[in-house]
Amino acid sequence: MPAGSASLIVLGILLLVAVIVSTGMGYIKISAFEVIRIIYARIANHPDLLAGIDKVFPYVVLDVRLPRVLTAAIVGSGLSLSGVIFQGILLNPLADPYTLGISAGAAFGAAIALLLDISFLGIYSVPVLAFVGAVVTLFTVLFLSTSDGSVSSGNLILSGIIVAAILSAGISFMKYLADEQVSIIIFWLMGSFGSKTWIDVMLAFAFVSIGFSICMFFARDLNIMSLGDRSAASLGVDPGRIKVILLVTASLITAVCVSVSGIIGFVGLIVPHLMRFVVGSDSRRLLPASALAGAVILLIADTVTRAVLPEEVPIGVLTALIGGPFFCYIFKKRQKVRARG
Amino acid sequence: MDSSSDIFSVNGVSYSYGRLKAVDNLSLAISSGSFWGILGPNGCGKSTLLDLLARCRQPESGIIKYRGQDMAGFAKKDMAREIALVPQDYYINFSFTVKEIVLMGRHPYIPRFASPSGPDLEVVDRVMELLKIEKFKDKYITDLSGGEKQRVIFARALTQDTPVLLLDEATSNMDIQYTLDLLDTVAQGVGQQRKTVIAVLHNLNLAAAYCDKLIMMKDGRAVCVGCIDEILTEDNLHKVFGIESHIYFDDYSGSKQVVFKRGTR
Repeated sequence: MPAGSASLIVLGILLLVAVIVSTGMGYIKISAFEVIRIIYARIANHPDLLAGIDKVFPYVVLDVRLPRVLTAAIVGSGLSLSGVIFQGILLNPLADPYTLGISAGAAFGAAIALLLDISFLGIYSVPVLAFVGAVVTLFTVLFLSTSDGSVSSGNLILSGIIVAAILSAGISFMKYLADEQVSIIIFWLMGSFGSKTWIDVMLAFAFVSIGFSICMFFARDLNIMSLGDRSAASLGVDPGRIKVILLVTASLITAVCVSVSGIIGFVGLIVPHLMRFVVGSDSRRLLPASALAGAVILLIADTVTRAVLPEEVPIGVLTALIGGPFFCYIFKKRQKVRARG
Repeated sequence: MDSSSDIFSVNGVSYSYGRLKAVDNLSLAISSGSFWGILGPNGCGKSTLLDLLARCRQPESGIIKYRGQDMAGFAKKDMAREIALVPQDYYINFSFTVKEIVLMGRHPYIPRFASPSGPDLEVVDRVMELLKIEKFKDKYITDLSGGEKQRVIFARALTQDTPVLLLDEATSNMDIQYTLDLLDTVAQGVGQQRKTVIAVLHNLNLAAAYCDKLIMMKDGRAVCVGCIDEILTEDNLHKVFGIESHIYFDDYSGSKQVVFKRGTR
């Protein structure tokens, strides 16, 4: 247990450092010390602390960079959390919102909202349709991969790929229809944290933190469920009920993340894997550790595309380029373990 | 039909998977303080019966009483302090340590968000020592061999410390010394603490050596139920499995033993 808490503290400090350093990085360089002063001046409402700092800096830090930095961190947390949940519930270390087609479902819903310019739900239109898309996809994939009341791991990935392929075709069709708005949809699909506002930050934070609380509430049940449904039931856990609650929660988190930032793949797959090496498989440690590490990793990736690379690469493209090969590695390694089994 | 020594009474219970009837209008009474064996060919409904007794599944029709009360009325957590199940399947996909897995057996006793108490950890240590797995308590379950995993899963169920233990071919992948060791441990619990064990076994001679009572099943029905001396007969084996066998009392093992002739094909 102490080893687990120590890693959580280290990850928390890392996240804080990453937020401050990356807020200072970019076309206009701002030192970490100045970033801290600007944030503190706003929180404590002490404008005189800003003396000696360029007049533009507070605007750059508070209105441009911080919303983007925080959104990236929150989305990284959310995707990693839902990765832990999908993997834990489906007993499959290869499951994540992207490989299961959940992200594509959310994107499909969001693309409909963008294409038809649906706005009767105000700023929630895109997230709500993304959520509907995510949940419908989840249950379609589960339906396709269930035989005799049990879900097989291989079927699940295959169904996810099939459904995602159909949805991608649907999204392409919408792009074809979209004409003028096509660039909005394309840009959005590739994933981006550009021009995020405090509304995005609040929306993502609200849903991800509620989702996190629900997941933590059921964390021990999630551990028990790795023993399989029969053992879980004989230990007084109701696997059916908890599966539904947690799958819907994870889909909700995914949907909000996708609606805020577009499709960002493989974060939900890689982060829980890395964290299992660090804190073990106990969900009570794995969930917070993955949330923190996911935030750090996606924030660093976004900062690399924004401030380090000469040209801004869409973040979804970057994570897929790094995450895809990692997926292959896990897949191969698991086959060896099975063969030994 | 309900006598006070019956821990389970099953009345007209059916369960099916789609169109396939796994348990068909089954009625039987299971007395407490005995080592019960369930024998029968593949697909005869043995595992389903265990699931129904463990309340992993609800009967479609009929009623199962536990100590005279309808099982449907029990809270899941209370039931988990009465009945433990060792499943056939021991595949675990995630890198939990052996100790973490065994500790999961204490789940029904630990309130949500609470840490395991001293007595909980004592039970865990005692069971790990009893099943000789304490030497790899900090290893990951994913790094163990099939037989070792099965011992860990067994330990998990013993840690639940319940009056009833259900075994679904719980020793199928173990070396013979561990199989005997585990069945001895379990049989001791029956003898000394009046626990009830209900085991699905494939090995007829292990069943003959350890069980006091037998249930022979075929096509979702109990063909015969009773003391092993009356039930384990050449006629009944022919009726249930369709095989020719010879059964004799073996002085060395102190129990009945079954031997087979090669088929005529």
